[in-house]
Amino acid sequence: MQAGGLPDTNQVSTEPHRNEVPVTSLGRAPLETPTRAQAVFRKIEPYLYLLPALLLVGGLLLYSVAHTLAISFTDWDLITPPRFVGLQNYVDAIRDPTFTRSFSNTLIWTGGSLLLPVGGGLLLAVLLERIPGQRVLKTLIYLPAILSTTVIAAIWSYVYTNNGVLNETLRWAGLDALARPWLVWAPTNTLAMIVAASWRALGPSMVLFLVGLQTIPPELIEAAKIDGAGERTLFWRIKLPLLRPITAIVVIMSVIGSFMTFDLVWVMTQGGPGRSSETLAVTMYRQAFIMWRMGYAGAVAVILSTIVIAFSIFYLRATLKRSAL
Amino acid sequence: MNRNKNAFLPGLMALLLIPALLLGGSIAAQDDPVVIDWANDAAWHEAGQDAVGEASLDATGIGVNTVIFSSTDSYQAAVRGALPTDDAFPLFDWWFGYRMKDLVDAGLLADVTDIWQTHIDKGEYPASMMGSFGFDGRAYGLPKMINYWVVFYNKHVFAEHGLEVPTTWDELVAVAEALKSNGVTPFGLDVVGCRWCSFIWFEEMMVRVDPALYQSVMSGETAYNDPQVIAIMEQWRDLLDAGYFSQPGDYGDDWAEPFVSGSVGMYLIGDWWTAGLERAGFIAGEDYGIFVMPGITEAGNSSLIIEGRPLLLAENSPQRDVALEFADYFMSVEGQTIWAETSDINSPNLLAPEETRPGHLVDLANAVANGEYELYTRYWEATPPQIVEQVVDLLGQFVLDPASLQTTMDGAEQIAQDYWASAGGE
Repeated sequence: MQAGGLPDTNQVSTEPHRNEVPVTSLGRAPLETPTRAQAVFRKIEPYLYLLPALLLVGGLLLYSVAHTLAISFTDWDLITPPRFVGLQNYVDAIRDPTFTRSFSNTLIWTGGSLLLPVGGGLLLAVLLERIPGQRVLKTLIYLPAILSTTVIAAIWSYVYTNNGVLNETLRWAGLDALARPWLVWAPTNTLAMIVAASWRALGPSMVLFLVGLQTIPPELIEAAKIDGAGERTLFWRIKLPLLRPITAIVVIMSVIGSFMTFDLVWVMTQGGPGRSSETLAVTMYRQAFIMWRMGYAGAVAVILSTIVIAFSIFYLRATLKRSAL
Repeated sequence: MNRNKNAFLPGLMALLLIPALLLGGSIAAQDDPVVIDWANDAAWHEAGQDAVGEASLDATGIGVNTVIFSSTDSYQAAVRGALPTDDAFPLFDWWFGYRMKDLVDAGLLADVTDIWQTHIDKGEYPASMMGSFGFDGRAYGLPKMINYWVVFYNKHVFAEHGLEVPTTWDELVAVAEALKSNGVTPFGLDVVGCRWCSFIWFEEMMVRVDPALYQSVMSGETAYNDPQVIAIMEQWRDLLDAGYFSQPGDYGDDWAEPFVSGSVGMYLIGDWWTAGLERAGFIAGEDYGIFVMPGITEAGNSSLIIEGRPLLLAENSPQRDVALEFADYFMSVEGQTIWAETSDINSPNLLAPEETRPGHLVDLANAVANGEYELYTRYWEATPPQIVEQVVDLLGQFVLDPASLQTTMDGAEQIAQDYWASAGGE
């Protein structure tokens, strides 16, 4: 090392001396030999930066999850102390025919959400990619997404009344046989509400697919066209496989959303008539805030969350594995 | 050392001043007005509560701070969660009958029997009313509102078809038939957008035939599928089969429109619907009137279903005693007059001035005051909510499919039996 000069950046001293400034290969001179306290601090320093976020997530999310899990093993009505009942709430839920009906309705919601917002969103994105005036159409399709669920529920409640827009239109078109009370009988009421929910969800999923389509390199499309690929082959062999990451996101969001379906159902039918359109989230709410069975509601919440988490893990793993191939 | 000496004198003065300040504070607290929280989920009560609070502040030195929750569910959760603690709202609105029983059983409500008795002795309230606000002879709630369940009828529709207010059951059926034959739906009933509405005709048919049987079913002594109950349900089924009710799915979330437009002639509902019709521009006395449904039997002629909104006091609130003083003022003629005037409600206080009562309810209120009606708690609060919340869903199914009568009542009885067995035959 040259006295008074710049350190030789190629030399790394393995035994730093007090009067020497050791040099790293990155050209940064480390500080003095750390004391034990400093060494400990350096080790924990990165975690301290994470601490606010960890506290926030831990406080708001993990605590709630742990608390819900804990109360699911109790009988608790908010006004008397919780009483430990083991797995009784889970047994009650599984034996309860309403829970089974809610579960099947939730599965119908999941199927409907995959078909309409995901399938429909993809279809619209592909169609609108090349249509003139697509901006106006995209805006129109996206517009319902800015409405609150309560407003959407109120609008569709009127659409579905016996003398509402839908039945009147059907009668006007001579399709009287198709006119019916849409929110009365199961499973028509659930299907009708899925359509109402899809009206809102279609726009955002279409936008996500449009973003995905724009990320596909144009040269790939060009090359495929030169090789003689038609529109159908282009879609199934090029676009759809390359849209897999976006599709995964839209599918996950739709499935989670459908398992959490509550507000629209609550406003339109309150899960009725006769609990025929109840979903798992509605069952959970009814048990917690109408029947005051916090433990039972907690058990439903745990079952619901487990299904969603398990689905998300399996689906993401499978999708990512395929993407990596 | 000097520093310590210098600090000694102010320290001593401070020590001497603390008790004086505390004493002064307590004296001031006695003289100062006290304002306590009064929670509810009905925004339209705010002006009335504030007005009573101001009057009470002048008269007793106790005012109220109105706390409104916009959602009933979140309101109930917040109140229930706080009740076992010191943070409980000292005053809060609730639902009467069995809807407050678990709070009573848990010892969370202040006993207000003495306040009731004082005002009953003054002739301000019928003694029979207290029973709906408590259990086993003790009262735990005050009557903030009492609503009568009556038939609203569209005066223009009745006039157009030359119909009179029915005074017997046969006349009522004749009116329904006349309306139906003129293309008007006789009775509005929505069990799709309103799941609880399914109990309205169940309770009404029961009290119009046999009010004692109704009470017996409510207390679990008689089964829902008892032959007498089934026979009453068959009468309701006949009305449904005759096409006297609106069809499921007829309504969005607006009951007023079909009534105002005249496509529905009558509604059986609580008198609180007056406010809803007023918002729709339909005026009591001019556009519509009310009548008590005639009895199917003699016993059913003098029955009247009531719904009460009680004001409750939290036992655990540090301001419990102050709340009790306010409660006494609220029940008084002065408190009720201000409350009725500013809320457009029919005061349950019999001595409240007649001019404070909504015009179309004066005759009925006077008839109740004269003891012409036996009051029965509506189904929602007359039996445990654990039964009600499930049976209303079954009754809703019955309205959609009247042929399911026996299944409905068997199911209801199973729910009731399960509850009463788990409650230890309470």
